[in-house]
Formats: sequence, C-alpha cells, structure tokens
Amino acid sequence: MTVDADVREFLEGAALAVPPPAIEATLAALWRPAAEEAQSGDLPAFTRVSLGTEVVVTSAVRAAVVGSLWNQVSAEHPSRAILVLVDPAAGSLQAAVSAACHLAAPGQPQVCSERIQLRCGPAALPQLPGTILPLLEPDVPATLWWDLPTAPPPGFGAKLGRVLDRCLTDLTYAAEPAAVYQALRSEECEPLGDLAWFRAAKWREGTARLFDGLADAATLQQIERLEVVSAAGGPGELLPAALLAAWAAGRLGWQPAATEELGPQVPDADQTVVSRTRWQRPGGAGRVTLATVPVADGRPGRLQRLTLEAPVADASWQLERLHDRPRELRVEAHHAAWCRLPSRMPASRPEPLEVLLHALSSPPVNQTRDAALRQAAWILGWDGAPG
Amino acid sequence: MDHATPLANPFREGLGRATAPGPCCFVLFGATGDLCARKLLPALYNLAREGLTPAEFYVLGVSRKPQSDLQWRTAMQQAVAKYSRHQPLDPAVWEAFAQRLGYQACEFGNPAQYADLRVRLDDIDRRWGTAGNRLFYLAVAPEFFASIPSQLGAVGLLGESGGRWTRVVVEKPFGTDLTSAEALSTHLRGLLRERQIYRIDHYLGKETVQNILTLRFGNAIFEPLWDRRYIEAVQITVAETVGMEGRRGPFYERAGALRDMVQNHMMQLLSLVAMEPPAAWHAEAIRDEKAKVLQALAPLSAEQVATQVVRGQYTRGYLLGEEALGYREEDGVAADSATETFVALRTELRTWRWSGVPFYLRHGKRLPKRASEIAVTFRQPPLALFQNPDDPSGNTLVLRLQPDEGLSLSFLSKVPGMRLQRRQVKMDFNYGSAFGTASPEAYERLILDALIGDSTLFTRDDEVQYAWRFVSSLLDGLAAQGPAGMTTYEAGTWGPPAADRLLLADHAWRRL
Ligand SMILES: NC(=O)c1ccc[n+]([C@@H]2O[C@H](COP(=O)([O-])OP(=O)(O)OC[C@H]3O[C@@H](n4cnc5c(N)ncnc54)[C@H](OP(=O)(O)O)[C@@H]3O)[C@@H](O)[C@H]2O)c1
Repeated sequence: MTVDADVREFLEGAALAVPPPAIEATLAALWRPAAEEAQSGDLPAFTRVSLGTEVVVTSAVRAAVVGSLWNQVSAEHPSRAILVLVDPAAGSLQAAVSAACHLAAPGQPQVCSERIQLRCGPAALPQLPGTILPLLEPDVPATLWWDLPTAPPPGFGAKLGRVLDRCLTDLTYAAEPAAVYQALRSEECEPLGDLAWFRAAKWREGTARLFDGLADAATLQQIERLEVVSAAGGPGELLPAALLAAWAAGRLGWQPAATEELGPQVPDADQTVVSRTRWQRPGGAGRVTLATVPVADGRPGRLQRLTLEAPVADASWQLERLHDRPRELRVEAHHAAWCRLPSRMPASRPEPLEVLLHALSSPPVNQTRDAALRQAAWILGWDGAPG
Repeated sequence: MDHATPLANPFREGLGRATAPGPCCFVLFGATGDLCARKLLPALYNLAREGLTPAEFYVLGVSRKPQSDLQWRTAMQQAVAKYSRHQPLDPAVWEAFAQRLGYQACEFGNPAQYADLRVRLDDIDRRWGTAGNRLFYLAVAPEFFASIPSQLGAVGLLGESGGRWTRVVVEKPFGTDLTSAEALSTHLRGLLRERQIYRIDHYLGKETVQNILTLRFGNAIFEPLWDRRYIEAVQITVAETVGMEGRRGPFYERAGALRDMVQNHMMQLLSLVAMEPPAAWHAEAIRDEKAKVLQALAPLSAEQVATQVVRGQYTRGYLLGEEALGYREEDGVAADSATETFVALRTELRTWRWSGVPFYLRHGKRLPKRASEIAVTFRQPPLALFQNPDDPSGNTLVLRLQPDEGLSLSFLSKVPGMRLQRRQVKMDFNYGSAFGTASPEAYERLILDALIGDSTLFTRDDEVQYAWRFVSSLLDGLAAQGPAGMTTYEAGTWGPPAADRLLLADHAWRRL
C-alpha cells in the first residue's frame, strides 16, 4: 500500500493498525502529507482541531455503541479520542488510528480530529496508564470516561487521575456501581462527575424555572418534602433520582441527617418507595423520598417525577415526564399565590449525544455537582455522610 | 431603582440566567411586512420550538390589511417554512405555536382602532393567561415610531399597574440625525420609562459581537496590552457585496452609508472594542461603559471632515464575474443622487486609554467581499534587532465577525533555513468549526432578552444620542462640501482611492 492510499483511507475514517509505541509518530506521518495534499488540492481541504483528549475505557460489547456515539461527538466536539476496548478475548495491547472528519458548514474546510483505539484483555489494564499518559495533549482538558461496569484495578486512577482534568462515570448502568464509585474516589480520580448529572440538566432548569422571579425566602423555607420517582431496573437505578434530590436539597440549604428505616409499604400498584432520608432544614426537619415505578419502555433510572411540597402553605411544585411524549417535561406549580399554567420543556437532540456534549463542554470543577454526587452516594449507602 | 429586583432563586445558581420568560402577549406592529416574515416570526417559532416561550404566550400581528387570524397564520406558516433556520417545519410544534397566533387590523393613524386593539388584548389576557404583560414590537417604518406609542398611551396600553409590565421594541433607524433622534427620544420619554424602551441593533445579537467582551474581559492576556502604549491603530470594516437588490433603492436614497451602518452597528462595534471593563456583568454597568466611549468621540469640524472622512458612490463595474450597475443607475435612485454608498473615516477617542490611537472605520456597498472585522494593530518592538527594513511588520489581532467568524493573530517567525529570514505567520481560531454548534439567529436572542427583560444587548438612549452627535457632525461637514465632496469607485473594488489619503503615515487599509 502506498503512503498516499494510507493517508486517504485514514482521512476517510479507516482504522490503521500501528504498534503502540509508534502511535504518535504514525499520526504525525499521516497528518503531514494529508495537509500537503489538501493544500495542493489533491484531497479536500480540512482543519485539524482538538478541544481536548477524551479517554474512554469501555468493554468490547459496547464498542460499536460507544464508537458511533463518538463519531457524532467529534462532529461537535472535535478532540483526540482514545478509545480503550477491554476485551476478555484479546491478549496483549493492540492499537489502531483513524481520523474523523465532518463538514462544519457548506463551503468550509472539513473539521478533522483523530481517534486512537486500544484493545486489550483485562490483564493488560495496568499497562494502560503508561500507554495513555504520553498521548494526552498539552494545554487542553483531558477527560477519563470510565464506561466499564466494574471498578478499575488498584493504581489505575492514581497514575492517570493526577494528570487528568476530570473523570466521568455512568453508574446508572454499572453492574457494581458502589464498587466503581468507591474505587474511583479512593484512586483520586477527581473531579468525579456522573453522566446522570448531565442527563438531568433539564430537570434542574425546569425546577429553577418554577421559581424564577417568584421565589421568596419564606416560601422556599416552607418546603419540607422532596420526592423523586424514577424507573426501576438495575443496581444503579436510584442514582439519577438521588442526585436530583441531593441537588434540590442542597439548593434549599438542607444538610443530610439520617437514613430512615422503611416501614411496611402501603400496597401501591404503581410506585415502590425505596429510600427515605431525613435532612436538617434551616427551619426544621426535611425528608427526601425516592421511589421507583416499573416503566415498560423506560431506561432504568430514568427520571419520571420530582415533587417539592410545602404542606404548611398547601403548596407543591412538580416536574413530570410526559407519558405520551417522553422527551418533554411538564412543569407545574400549585400555590394559592401563583397562577401559572403548566408549561412544557422539549429536549432537542437524541439524549446520549446531548448528554456527552454537555458533560464535555462544562467546566471540569463544579462544587455544586460534586456536593450533590457525594450526598447522593450517602443517600444510596455507597459512602458515609459527607462532611 | 424603579425596577423591582427579582428575588434570588437558589435553584438558578450555576445554571446561567433565566431563559424562560413569564406570561405575556407579543404585539407585532408591521405584521405584513418584510422584517416580520423574514426574521421575527421565524425567530418566535424557533424560540417556541426550543421551549423558550412561556405557556401563557400569544402573538398578535397588527397591520392595516383586513384579514382573519387564519389568513395571517397561513401566510406566517409559509414565511416560517421558508426562512426558519430549522428546516423543515415541525408540524407538531407549528400546530401548538399557530394556536397562539392572532391578527388585528389597525390603520396606524386611526385612534378608534387602538381602542379595538385594547379590547382584543384584554380578551387575550383572559383567554390565554398572558397576565396583562405586553411587548409591543414596532416593525414599522420610522415615521410611526413616535405615533404608535402615542396612540397606545392614549388608550391606556402603556400602563404598568398591578405588577404588569409593558415594553416597546423600536427598530432601527432611531432618528435620521441628532435633532430628530433627540425629538423622538423626548417624545418616548414622555410616554415610557427608559427601562421600557428596547432599541434594537441586531448586530448586538450576533454571537461573535458578544464574544468581543468575552475575549477582552474573560482572558488576562489581552487587557494589559489594550491601550495606547501597545496599540498602533484599530480598523473596523463592514464590507458588503450587495447593492440595491430587493427594491432597497428608495429606502437607501434617504439613508446612505453613514446613517444605515456607521451610526448604529459600527458605533456599537467601536464601543465594545474600546470600552473599559464594566463594574459588573449586567445591563446598566455594561451600557455605562459603552456610552462613555461614544461620549469621548468628539464631533468633527468641517475642516476635520475634509481631511478625515471620505465618501463615495459605486459606478458600473464587475463583481464576481458579473456586471454590476452603478448606484445612480439602480431602481429608485436619482440620476444625480447625493447619497453615499461608501464611507471611510479616521477618528480618535479622547480618553486616557486611547488618546492618540487612530480608529479607522470603513463601510461600503458593492465591495469585492462580504466581510466584517475589527483589526487591532500593535506597535512595533521598541528596538529593531533585525537590521532589515524590508521585514514585514509585527502583530495584528483580527476579530472576524462575518462570514467565517473567528480570531487570528499574526506575528513574525523565522523561516526555516540557514539565513535569518523572517516571515509573517498567522494563528487562527475559527468560531464555527471549534464548537461545531450552530449559533442562534440574532433576532432569536434579542427577542428572548426583551421578553425576559434583559436590556444588555439593546442600545440605551445616551448611546444613541452620542453616536448621533458624532455622525451628525460628519453629515453636516459632508453636506457643506456639496457635490464636489463625493468620490466614486468602481463596483467590485475596495472603494475610492481617496480613502487612502486619510490614513496616517505607515498605515494601510487591510485587504480582507
Ligand atoms: N426588513 C429588514 O430586513 C429590516 C432590517 C433591519 C431593520 N428594519 C426596520 O424594521 C422596520 C420594518 O421594516 P420592513 O422592511 O418590515 O418594512 P415593510 O416591509 O415596509 O413593513 C411595514 C409594515 O407596516 C405596515 N404599515 C405601513 N403603514 C401602515 C399604516 N399606516 N397602518 C398600518 N400598517 C401600516 C405595512 O403594512 P402593508 O403591508 O399593508 O403595507 C407592513 O406590515 C423598519 O423600521 C426598518 O427600518 C428592517
């Protein structure tokens, strides 16, 4: 194969196998002639852009899903993607490189970024930090997305985490969410963020809308109860609900107090209460309840409803996913002084893409997000009460 | 403050500003006009599509032509389908949006029809929960900017009692010179408070224009260099390839380049690039600083106009391989027209930061390219170490506003090889490809801001008046020159060669 054919295939997205030590040199050797040929008009014009390095550690079974998601991400967030596929059938570390090019606007040069794919068996995981560290680009943020359902081997995060700008997880779908959470925390893979936080962005926006221009301290202090209902299924099913509840409680100035024993449940065909915690409010005690509902076509953990209640004012505020249009939220207030019709909030893009882009474009450090995740871990019994 | 401060919303913290306006009725005067069809209705539809309009919302189109709600809706459906940036039209979104579209015939000079309008608006409040909040958008010819608010006031439609709000959005141009702008301002102030008036300049709705402030005040590296000690000159160019297409001739004959572009858009660009850091990130603090820049723009005397301003008219020429008519040959243009289609000028700001730095402004029609940019040229290093007088000169920071929005910095670099040879190279940042996401249309952003009550991106009265004070001095100086002061340039060229004369030594117009 001539160099020209390699370059062309590379730019068209084909994965070219390379020995791991030669990754950087091969990429340089491909981009340079590609740029020259583009300049001479033999190849379409392109600009190489990198907004960061994104390291994704995932399983071979998720390879196709994550790969195609990353293709879409690179159209809007061009970056150096290092996709690590952990495959029990694989032996030693293998590497391949490819380019992802997209037309930003008609008449403009294509925007290209690069993908480095590493495939290895679980036994080779400890070798990875030494392979990945030299591939992180300077001056732009580096992110680790831990997409494996199991915890990283000891030392993995400590070696990599120190130089990364953030770690992302998606514990709602993990087989051992508590173990992954605890391992990443103890490995100092910080700041740690979970995709459930970004998935719930419009829930937070909707909650804020309920109180825009209307909030007064007295009303907010009357709120005593928070309830979040989500779809049942899987060990991580409660994380999105716990995160949303912890965020809302934190915004109201509540502090975690104690976990309540769940008494015998009142039979309710739809809803099962799965967690109840007590909180210290500025004006007394508060309670957070998490419940699940079986949702046939819903994803596990998917948020269904958030209710804030102020019994003394006979008021409540609610956000609810619409059954007939699950990509819309209905936002409604019941309060004698507020006469507002329910309103709707649409989501404009397919969820996983929107969520990832939101995660990658938000600042790595966010104290509100971090506090909510720590308190959610407390609600779920993954961690002690945050200090 | 005469403005009720919204109480803090703890849920809002960290989520950015409120994006959902409260209940209101959007009353659109000029509902059968060009701006309404091309920009305003598509913008409103896109806001509804993004869930950014409240549930209690209604759009009432007002114009003289008698027609039913349904007829107007149908016309607007076609307009939105044609001009919306999201294609194709989403039938479900349109259906929900169209239910909230109504039309009211009103001859702008007929008081009785304003009484009917009031009845209709009260009815809309009852039926659609719009709570008596009204935004009157005047997408009408400037001669109605004063009379429509008067008529609205006469039937009690400008009041704000009982917690209701009323806002009036005024399109450009705000006056045709200092005297008329002052008169309009005095008139409106007799009817409304300043905070109720939203003077629109759609340039301020452009993302890249807003990015000027982020670039300047969000980064530490530019601001220390941003003054007379390090900056040699600032050049602002808004170049257009269009001429008088779309029957613009009669309108343009009355306006000209200075009124159409310099007084509003270019003055806004100048104020953003030259302003001091605001004390806080809110409307009044930002507009205070912008106004100070325009205040520091001294009016020019007739003698100064003669050496610092050049105007021109395009003559027949070739643009992109096609023959273009001369301005005086265009439809609706007088054969002896005295309207300028090009203007270039040199001015200075009387402030500590900018004293002595020339600001060059250039705008024209039928220029070779459509391009807008602000170029900041830095001074040369204090000592010329490389004894080569032919070396290309130092650093220019260019903020490109359109097309191809972005930023570039040029600097000197050694050419590889044994010889010590230097060449100008460029670092480039492209706004479109770096983020990959499409920017909202300027009108979407501005309408949303007006609905929320955020006036940061609207022009305040004092800004308009200071800008007119300066531009009126140019208009007067040019008028005093008579027809002899008019130069010409061939369509498809970078303007009259006379424009070079107003540059200081060693300065040149940039080739875009
Ligand atoms: N078009 C643009 O791109 C643009 C850009 C920036 C600023 N602007 C500004 O926006 C404003 C509107 O511009 P436009 O281009 O939309 O103007 P236009 O197409 O002439 O529309 C004017 C509107 O006002 C109505 N109207 C005129 N006289 C009336 C009267 N006596 N009673 C009732 N209705 C009357 C017209 O109704 P009929 O259809 O019955 O005549 C039409 O609906 C102007 O101030 C302009 O400077 C426009």
